[in-house]
Amino acid sequence: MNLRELNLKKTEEDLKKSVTKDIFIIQTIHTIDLLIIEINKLISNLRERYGYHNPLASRMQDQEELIKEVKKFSKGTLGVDYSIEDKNSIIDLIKIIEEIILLKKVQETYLEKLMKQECPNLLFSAGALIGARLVSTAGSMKNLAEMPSSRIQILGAEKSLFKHLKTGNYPPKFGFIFSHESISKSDNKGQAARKLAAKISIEAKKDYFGKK
Amino acid sequence: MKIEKTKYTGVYEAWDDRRRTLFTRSDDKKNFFNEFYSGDYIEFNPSRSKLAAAILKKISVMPIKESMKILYLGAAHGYTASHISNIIKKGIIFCLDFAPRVVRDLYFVCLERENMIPILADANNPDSYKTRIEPVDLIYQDIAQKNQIEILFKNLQFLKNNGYVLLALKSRSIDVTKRPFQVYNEVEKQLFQKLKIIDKKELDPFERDHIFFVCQKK
Repeated sequence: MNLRELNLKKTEEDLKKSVTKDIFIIQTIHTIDLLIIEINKLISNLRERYGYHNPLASRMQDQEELIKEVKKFSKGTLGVDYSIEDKNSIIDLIKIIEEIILLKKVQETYLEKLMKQECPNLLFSAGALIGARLVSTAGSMKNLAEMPSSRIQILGAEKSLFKHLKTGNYPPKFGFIFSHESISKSDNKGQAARKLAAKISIEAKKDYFGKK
Repeated sequence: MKIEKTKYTGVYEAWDDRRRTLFTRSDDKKNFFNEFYSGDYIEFNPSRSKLAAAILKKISVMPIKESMKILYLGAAHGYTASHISNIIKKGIIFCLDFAPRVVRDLYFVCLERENMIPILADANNPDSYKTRIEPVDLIYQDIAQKNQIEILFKNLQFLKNNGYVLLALKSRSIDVTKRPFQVYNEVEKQLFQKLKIIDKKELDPFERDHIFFVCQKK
């Protein structure tokens, strides 16, 4: 066996070994992020289209309530009459939006199941979405476990971090973890972010090094 | 279109409307990256390869010759590596990369080329792939790492005497806060310890804040 064949075979083995469960977590959270963007775009389009028929109802903030309202299709003040064809095209749009929302929910339950197997402690402290986003930005569970908590705190705020390094602006206090409820409800957000990041870094270490 | 030879071995050029396009010649007519081609000749795109950018910026020496053995650190998908494999023909190119995702693409390119060999390893510890390669005539390094020069010095053990080193350096990956020319000067001082610098060119319109070194082992 010559050098080339030997190397090809070794590379093949290495490549097969390199696929871990982290990659599934990262890919799933990419899908969910894409779906969220798509849903927001479609719903703002729906809101605009329905607004000519029922201006007041189209000002609803909640997405699910808006969809329920559009299904009733009642004419409001200042509204214009829609023919049956106009109505049908909007109803078709709602069907697709509901399907995408269902798909997103299915993906989220799958993600939670994955994380329960791979990193149960991280799931408990950070939640499925935030935890998965942290793993995806860090690159793998190994990288996340080796990170200091101060870096986990600003993961996802790279833009403002580099602005701080370049121009001397104020540094960012939080990245992805900002959407965690312990921070958004707290009065002192900087302190809460530090606490949560410290907790997450401990849990990630537990998950990765605990198995071995 | 009229394709002519250049002063660099294995690299061809063509002019159309004041634009200069580079080509390399592949005898098996394999076009892995959907590039523009005519006949055997496949385009060598300067915005995808730093070697092509350096050639377009008129670097004085391009030491890659036929039937050379080359170690390529940071091969990625294998764009530059496949063109180098066109140039060297019966030589060997060892393509090394660290990230599994890009090596997956590289693997399929290597399967179809007799002279390309893929290695999935970290250039930081040469001991892990020491037994898998041979002494080489040239090292091409294109990895955007902070300790890039350190990694290069570790790999100099595989280079034969009077062998060449081609080095593409991204100043932003060494230090974002410093000005590029400061970084270049520091790197040059480091390189002088073990290497002799033949030429250097900034790759300005093609890659921002990049520089390309051609060195030789002392």
